[in-house]
Amino acid sequence: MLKIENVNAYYGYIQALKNVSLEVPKGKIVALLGANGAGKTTTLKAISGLIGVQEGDIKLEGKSIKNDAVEKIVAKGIIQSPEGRQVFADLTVEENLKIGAYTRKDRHNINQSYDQVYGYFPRLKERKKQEAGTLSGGEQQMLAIGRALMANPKLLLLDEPSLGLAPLIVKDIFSIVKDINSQGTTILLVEQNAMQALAISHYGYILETGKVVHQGEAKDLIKDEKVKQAYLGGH
Amino acid sequence: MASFLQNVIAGIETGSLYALAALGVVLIYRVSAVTNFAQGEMAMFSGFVAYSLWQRLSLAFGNTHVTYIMAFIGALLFATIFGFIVEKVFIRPALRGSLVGKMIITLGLIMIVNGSAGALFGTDTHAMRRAITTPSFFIGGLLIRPNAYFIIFLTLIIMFILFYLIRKTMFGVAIRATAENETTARLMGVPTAKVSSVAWIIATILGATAGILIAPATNVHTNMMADVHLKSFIAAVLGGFTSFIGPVIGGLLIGVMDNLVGFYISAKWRTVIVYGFLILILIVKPAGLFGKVRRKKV
Repeated sequence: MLKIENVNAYYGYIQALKNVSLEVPKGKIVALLGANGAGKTTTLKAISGLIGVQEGDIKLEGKSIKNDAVEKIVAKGIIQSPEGRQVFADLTVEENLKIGAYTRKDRHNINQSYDQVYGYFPRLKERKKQEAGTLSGGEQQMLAIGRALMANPKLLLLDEPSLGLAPLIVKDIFSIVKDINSQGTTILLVEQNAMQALAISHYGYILETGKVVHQGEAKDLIKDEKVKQAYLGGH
Repeated sequence: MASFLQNVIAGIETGSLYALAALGVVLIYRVSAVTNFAQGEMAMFSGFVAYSLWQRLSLAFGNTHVTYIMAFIGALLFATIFGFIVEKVFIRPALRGSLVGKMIITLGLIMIVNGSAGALFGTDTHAMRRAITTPSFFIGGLLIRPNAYFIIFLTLIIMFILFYLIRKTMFGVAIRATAENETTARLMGVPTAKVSSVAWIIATILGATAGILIAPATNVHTNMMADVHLKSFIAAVLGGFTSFIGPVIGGLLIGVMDNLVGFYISAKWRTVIVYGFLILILIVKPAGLFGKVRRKKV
């Protein structure tokens, strides 16, 4: 579905992505792992069009989306739930979800999407009239994912959904991410929490200082000794 | 009692015009994160356009309600283009600039707009007609000024439409989302450049409307909006820059207090008393009456 081919991207003079290639097949969860500063978020920014791509190409279903406007990429079906959740604190839960559907043309199906999101996250339904700023961290993460789902995406980009959350809540969130995928949404999951991310993914890529240094089936990566030592805290 | 009512109504009349202008200031502040110090000058320019159109049309077709309404609408069309151009040419390129930089740009705009108005329309003072020319009359001891009621009524309608737009529609949610977090709004597919453009257009129209309606009282000249503009800013600060209802209450409060203090306490000292009192309010509520101090969760 999504193909990134030899992408180079820069922040000023600093090269943030070096010849990165990766592929997200339809219907799968692909994990993008690596330490802080490895280029994970930059990769997502390049896909979403928030930063320019100097060399290489990014293709959705065979067509280049490289350097399209951000809102155009969303309209084509790639939506991102950004790092740090970034819910609109002054908007109600319901309004946050509403804005997620901004580019939808099929207005009459939007109610179905509300039901779907409230189905995954019943807590959001209870709090739909509440301002998002009053939610707990876990609830805000649910809202950030729910908001992205309102776009009815072909491809969902999740940037560190486990960041700063209690282990039990992380477990919940990951199991819902898996559910969302089994309902047919393709997912690119960026995580530092490599073990748990690989546990629900089909395939994984490991980034280091802007380069893909390792990749493979998730079940193989979990067992790989080198990967374990370097990224999975297996010592 | 009659004179009390008289003062309150006159206060609401001018206060609602401050409120209109203040809403424009707040709208721009929230979407573009810049305080538009040129709002008043832009409104003055639109006022001149309305006056010139009205003069020309009256010469050609006679001074009727129709020519006034046509001039009014023409000026609002001008304001639409004016707001669009100012945002596009002056504000958009500085989008990621510093706050001070953007503020200086709007200060520069004051000079440009004021200078252009002087060059194009001259520095003379002109009398503008009222929207409603029906003469005032008495009911009991109360002087009824139809134009004042019209102004209050019209601003109420405009505010109602604006609040509906901001609170209930998808575009309103997009405006508030862009105001809070521009990057994330874009990630949700909101064309934030378009949102900013429309916000400037709406704000310029609000300012122009205030300018045209106040013109019969201030006359049309290059400094006609100085007082209104200052008070609309104070209204916005008093009500709170983070809310939309705040500036409306702030504007009405200033208008009414100005009149009541002037009438009952001291006409000489009214400015000092009114604004001294407003500063007291701000000491108690620094974010304004309806302003919120934002808390952030990690």
